[in-house]
Amino acid sequence: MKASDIMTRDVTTVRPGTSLREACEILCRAGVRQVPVVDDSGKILGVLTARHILSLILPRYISEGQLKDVAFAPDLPLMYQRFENLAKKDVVEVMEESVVIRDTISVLEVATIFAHERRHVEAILVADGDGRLVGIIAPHDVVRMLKRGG
Amino acid sequence: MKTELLIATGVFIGVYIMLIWDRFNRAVVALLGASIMIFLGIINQEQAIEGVDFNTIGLLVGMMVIVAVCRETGIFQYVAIKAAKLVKGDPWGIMFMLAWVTAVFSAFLDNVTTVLLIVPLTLLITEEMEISPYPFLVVEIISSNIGGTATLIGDPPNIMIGSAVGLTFMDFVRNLIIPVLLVMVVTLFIIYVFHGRKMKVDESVRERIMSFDEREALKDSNLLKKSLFVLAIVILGFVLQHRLHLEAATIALSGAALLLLITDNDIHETFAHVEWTTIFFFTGLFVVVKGIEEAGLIDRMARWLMEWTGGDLFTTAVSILWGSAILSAFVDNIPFVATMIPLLKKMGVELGGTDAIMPLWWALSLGACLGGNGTLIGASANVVAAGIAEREGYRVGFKEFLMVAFPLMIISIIISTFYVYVWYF
Repeated sequence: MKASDIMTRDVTTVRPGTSLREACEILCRAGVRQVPVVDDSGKILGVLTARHILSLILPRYISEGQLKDVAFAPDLPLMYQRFENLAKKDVVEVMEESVVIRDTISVLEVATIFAHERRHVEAILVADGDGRLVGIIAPHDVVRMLKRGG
Repeated sequence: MKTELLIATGVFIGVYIMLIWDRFNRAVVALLGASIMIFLGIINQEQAIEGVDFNTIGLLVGMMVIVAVCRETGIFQYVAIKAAKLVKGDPWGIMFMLAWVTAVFSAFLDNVTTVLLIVPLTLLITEEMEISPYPFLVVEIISSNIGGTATLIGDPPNIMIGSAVGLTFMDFVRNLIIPVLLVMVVTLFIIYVFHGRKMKVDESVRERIMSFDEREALKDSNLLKKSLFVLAIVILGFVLQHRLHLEAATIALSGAALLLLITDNDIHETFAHVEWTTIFFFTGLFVVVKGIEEAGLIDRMARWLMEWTGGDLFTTAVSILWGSAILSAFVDNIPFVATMIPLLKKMGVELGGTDAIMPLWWALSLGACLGGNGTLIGASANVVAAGIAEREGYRVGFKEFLMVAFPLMIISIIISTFYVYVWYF
């Protein structure tokens, strides 16, 4: 079984030039956790995840774990200000590097990437030989395939 | 000069230069220096191991393990938030309280751990209050170094001095608590006059501080009870150290073992929190110092110092106090103290024995610990605190810190000079 057999082919994407606010609207509307950033030819440039946005607006000492638990603190006004400042930026400035595999890669490798203890990969982008986006795989796609019995 | 002495001096100076240059990890530099001492035949491996003070190493490792477990309980955050709420969210009050919390915790934990705990919380509090964190950070760095001076376990120089001279936890408290309290009060008074009294915030900001819920910081009450129980036993052990005839390392390591036994913390994770770099740095330095001691450099340095001070105890104490303070402001105080220990022991023989030179040890402790406040690179805690702040976008400049901290350090050494004069002469 290959990545191309279990991936979702219909992927919501954004292009460079899209503001983070617009990208967030797309994220929320599509109800997905991440949106790949691709150029006009469909080449993968990066990915924008809701988790990454949250890590950028949180203070570093919190997102890096120096203050692990902040249940004792009230809401932080700074978080809203930081989001407002970030919202104006181009997605290219905010996106992070994506995990990309070839469509011919085995499902074993796909499952291995998801199961990695520390990486916490939420989705894997699937590319063709030219680096163009052809699909996306989430952990539940692998589980669905297992449930079907391969 | 003998060849051995020349070689050993060369290696020693080389190690010092490499440490100041700060290009390579300090543990690597010290271990490399130690290896060269052995390779060049200044000392053999047996002598090198003899030179390592395992009481210092054991005490450091034991306390690091205990602290690694205790910091997970959230007790530190609890105390700091409670203190901030006690002053009803008043900014100067918060600064004052956090300074004391930092000083007290620093007296029992190492200073780096204390700032690792207090700085993120301070940044959160100041960001909640929408005020500048800089004055808070400076006050906390200074308080951490002052507080660490008070006890045997508060700052590495004290651990080394205590171990080498056989001084107990209570010896340190009895001799250093007065100057430490004086320095703390005077420092905070100066900061209040120049800055604190101008600090104001809106009522809504105070309310936000009052809405912190410190009870939420205590994550695991079971772990908290066990940690406090062991910590209490360890501190009691230190207080009764003299009567128990136990070395500090035995107390700390036994406490660490007991804590690991009764809590089911992941041992690998706990041990990962031990600062092995510091441990290997100490080990390497002890060997380097053993090298210069065997080669006769310490002897010569002691003689030079004796000639310079004319053998007068008070002049010697003041020279050590000021010399160590100024040096510690610019270079790591650990290698300096490691060198001074055998030197003072040597001088003790000519100045009337161990009891007669006790003021010199207190002068060394006060100078080396308080001197760390002089510059941003004066102590590891300063560098760590500035590092956390910088990652959040608040750069603590070397010059800006120097302008405030150096004069305060000088004042602390003037206070210490008076104390040494009045108390011991």
